[in-house]
Amino acid sequence: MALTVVKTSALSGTITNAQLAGSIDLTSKVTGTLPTGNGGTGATSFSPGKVLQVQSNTFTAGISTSDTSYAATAVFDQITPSATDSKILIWIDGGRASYGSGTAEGSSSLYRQIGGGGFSALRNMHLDQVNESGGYGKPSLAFNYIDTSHNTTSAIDYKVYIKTNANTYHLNTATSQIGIILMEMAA
Amino acid sequence: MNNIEKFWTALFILKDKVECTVNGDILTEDDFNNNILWKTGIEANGKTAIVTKTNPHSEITWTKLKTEMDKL
Repeated sequence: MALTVVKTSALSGTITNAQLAGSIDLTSKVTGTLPTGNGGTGATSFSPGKVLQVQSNTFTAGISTSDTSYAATAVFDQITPSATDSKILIWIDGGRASYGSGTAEGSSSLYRQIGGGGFSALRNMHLDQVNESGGYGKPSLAFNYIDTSHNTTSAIDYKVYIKTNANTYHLNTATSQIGIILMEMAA
Repeated sequence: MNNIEKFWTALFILKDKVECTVNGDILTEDDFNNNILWKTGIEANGKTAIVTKTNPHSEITWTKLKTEMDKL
């Protein structure tokens, strides 16, 4: 009968680096779930992250218009999706609206440009925001939207366009901040 | 009256109901040439302005605008 000699040091104690010479086959030699108490996730399988990238921009300059058709503002940001079916989450918030030369009903619209091909309207952000004397509220933008229709991996520009029905409409005054955040989510 | 209010007041003195969009203050000739989108028409969709940074209004110049703004 052949005998195998097993060193007692191999049965207990600390495994040294020397004893780990070579490599461990992680494809088949690891089982079980590392609990959260030991720094693991507690998950039995891996789920890839859904947020692929985030872009952001802020603006504090004054923005105003007397145009009765939609015209571009400086409020924009760009994102280049990694997949055509990614969702683009859009947040645009802030600003301090006002008016001049008389009552003005300001409107804001989100425009989109894909691959530098020219801007077109994507969604109305708010319509006919009344600004007039007698206690108006200097309202701000509060808009969010999920763009699922871009179908591209080219650069996408999102830009805020504004117009007024009369006089002058101010989208932003007094160095208030307008922020825009674009987030690409995996489909 | 702040700077942007002076701009709009002076602008309408030179030409009433002129349509444009302003991003930032208009304090210098450089601002005048770069921060204003002047409306020249409407796109076929009927709601988007056709704009240019080149001032199409002969009644309005930076010098005239600055003169009016300084009076305010």
